[in-house]
Amino acid sequence: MSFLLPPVVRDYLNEVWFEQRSMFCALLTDQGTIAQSLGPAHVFGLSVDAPEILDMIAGLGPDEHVVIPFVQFGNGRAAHLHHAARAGQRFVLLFAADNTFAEMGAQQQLANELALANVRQAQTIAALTQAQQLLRDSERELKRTHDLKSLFISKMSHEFGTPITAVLGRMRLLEGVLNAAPAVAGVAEHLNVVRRGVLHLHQLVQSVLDEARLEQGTLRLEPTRVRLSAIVDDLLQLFSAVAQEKALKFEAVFDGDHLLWIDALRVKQILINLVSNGLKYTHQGKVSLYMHWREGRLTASVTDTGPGMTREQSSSLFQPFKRLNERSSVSGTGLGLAISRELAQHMGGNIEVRSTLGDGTCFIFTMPCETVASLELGQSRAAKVLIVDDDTDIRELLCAVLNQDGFNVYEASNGAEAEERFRTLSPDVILLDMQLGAEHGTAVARKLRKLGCVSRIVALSASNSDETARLALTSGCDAFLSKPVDFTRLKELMQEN
Amino acid sequence: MLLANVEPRKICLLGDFAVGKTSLVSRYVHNVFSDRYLTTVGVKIDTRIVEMSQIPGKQNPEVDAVAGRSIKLVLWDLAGAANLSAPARAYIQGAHGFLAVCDGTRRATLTTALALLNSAREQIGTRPAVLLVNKQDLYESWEVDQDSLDSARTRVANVLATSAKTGANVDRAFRLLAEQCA
Repeated sequence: MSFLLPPVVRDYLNEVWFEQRSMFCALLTDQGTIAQSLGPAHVFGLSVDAPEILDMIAGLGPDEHVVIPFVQFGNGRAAHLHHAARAGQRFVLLFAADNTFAEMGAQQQLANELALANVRQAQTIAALTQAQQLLRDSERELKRTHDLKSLFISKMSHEFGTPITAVLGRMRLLEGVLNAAPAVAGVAEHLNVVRRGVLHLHQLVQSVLDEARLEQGTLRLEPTRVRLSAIVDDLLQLFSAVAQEKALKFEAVFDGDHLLWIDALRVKQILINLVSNGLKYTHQGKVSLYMHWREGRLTASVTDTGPGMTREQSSSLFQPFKRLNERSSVSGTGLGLAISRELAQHMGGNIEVRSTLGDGTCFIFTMPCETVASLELGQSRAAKVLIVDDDTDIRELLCAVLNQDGFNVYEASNGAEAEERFRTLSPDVILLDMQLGAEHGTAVARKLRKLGCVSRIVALSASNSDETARLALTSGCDAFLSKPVDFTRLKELMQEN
Repeated sequence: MLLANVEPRKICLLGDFAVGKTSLVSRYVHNVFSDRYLTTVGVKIDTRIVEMSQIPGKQNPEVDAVAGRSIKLVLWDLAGAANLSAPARAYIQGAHGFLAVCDGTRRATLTTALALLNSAREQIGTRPAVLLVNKQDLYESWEVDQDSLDSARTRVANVLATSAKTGANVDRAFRLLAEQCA
């Protein structure tokens, strides 16, 4: 059964359907203009007859049937658009699609954001990988530079060490000769000038090497037994004359003599720097050194009556190459205090400064150290020392210095001679150069130990690298000494036997 | 101006998602820009009337031929995609020209833009096109290099670096295409 709705009902239905479903229909003319329209165009933000519809079908042929799933309008609404041609009629339909559009939009937004995040993540990972590669390249370059620097330091140490050793040694011998001979006018003064120059050069080279080693963390400590009183005595001897020249008073005292287990060379290096600075900058009054050992800590304070410093000056005092007064006539490398503090820290201690402008300065050096209560320093005795070195000049120099210090000295220029001398002499100490021409000192040391040698073997080398020292000590040597030879240290090593 | 006499030209913007197609249209039509990324679903249609005028002191036969006329650019901002989907094939029907857009900071989007343009040309025939390498303001982070652009120029004669954010080259790009489609 069918029935025809009255026109009034059909019209009402159309009205309700189009309004409630947000539908719009435009019938087009053959020329592509709008002939008539039905539905609420305003819902989509369009003008009454929706001429904007024509923009949406621009380029389409009159017979083309095209469905555009989602068209977004300027007012944010969305619709499905149909361009259809039926029975010679061409029309455009819009169906509101807000809900589906919003749902799809939200899903697409999430999907796109996720995809974008993935792209950015991949880019970040690629950038990180590249950065890591750059870092690795930089590290390689840094290591190469570091190796070159080490090589340079090693070469420099070798090239400077040997001649400085020779000059200092000969100076010492010359002083001995001069002391025994009648005074010749001016000679002592010339000699003093030469000594100061060589010592300055020596100090400069050592400072640069020390700074480099500290920076690289390769500075090797060599603790020995030493009396606190001996350190103080050495400093008194070293600086009394300097103080006298400037009409200053220099006093060095200690509280309780202890036999300490420390790297005396490095400790003295720090104290020499502190006292030397005090004497340089103090123009009247005195410089005092006070040392004591208590509860596992060695403390040394160096106080002067100099001009003192401002807080700013004190705070930058330990920076390398920092001079208190850049235009000061006082000589120096600007490395002394920096190295001293780094040395102190390398030994587990520190240096602090207390100063007031116009009221002097006090440096306090502290470090942990043990005492060697039951041991006494060996007295210098006529021990037999065998010097094994292929360099005749060095051999003669060492002979002369050790002879002067009261040792019985014997020589060998190569490994075979050293073995022969060892068999016939049984020396107390063998001073063995690590580079005997083509022959390596470590091989000689091993051979001597194989032969039953129990003498103290002191390795001597122009190279001061850790590796050389390690090789020497693992081949049977008891101690390692680098050139330029510190004759005080050499004597200590001879006495330790 | 009598709008009835203004000829419409349908221009479709093609490109991967988030390359800045909607932002370019917003900058060109409304002169606004938003940093917030909002994905396009389906298609957004916008228009702008372009008056074709002679460029003082310059002789350009293509421009001179249309000088004095006005055209209406009907800009179809298509949802970003890596390939031309079935609905997108419906959208590009009747297009007069294409703006293929890529993001300079994402190398892959250049390949996508060229592939989409190629598909569109295969479907409706060769139409004037301009390739826009967008996000020029982020030039420091660009992955698209000169070699890729040189290679792209063998397939699209007009290649422009644009920034919807700063507006750099945006007007120029649309006008260039309008001149070719006029």
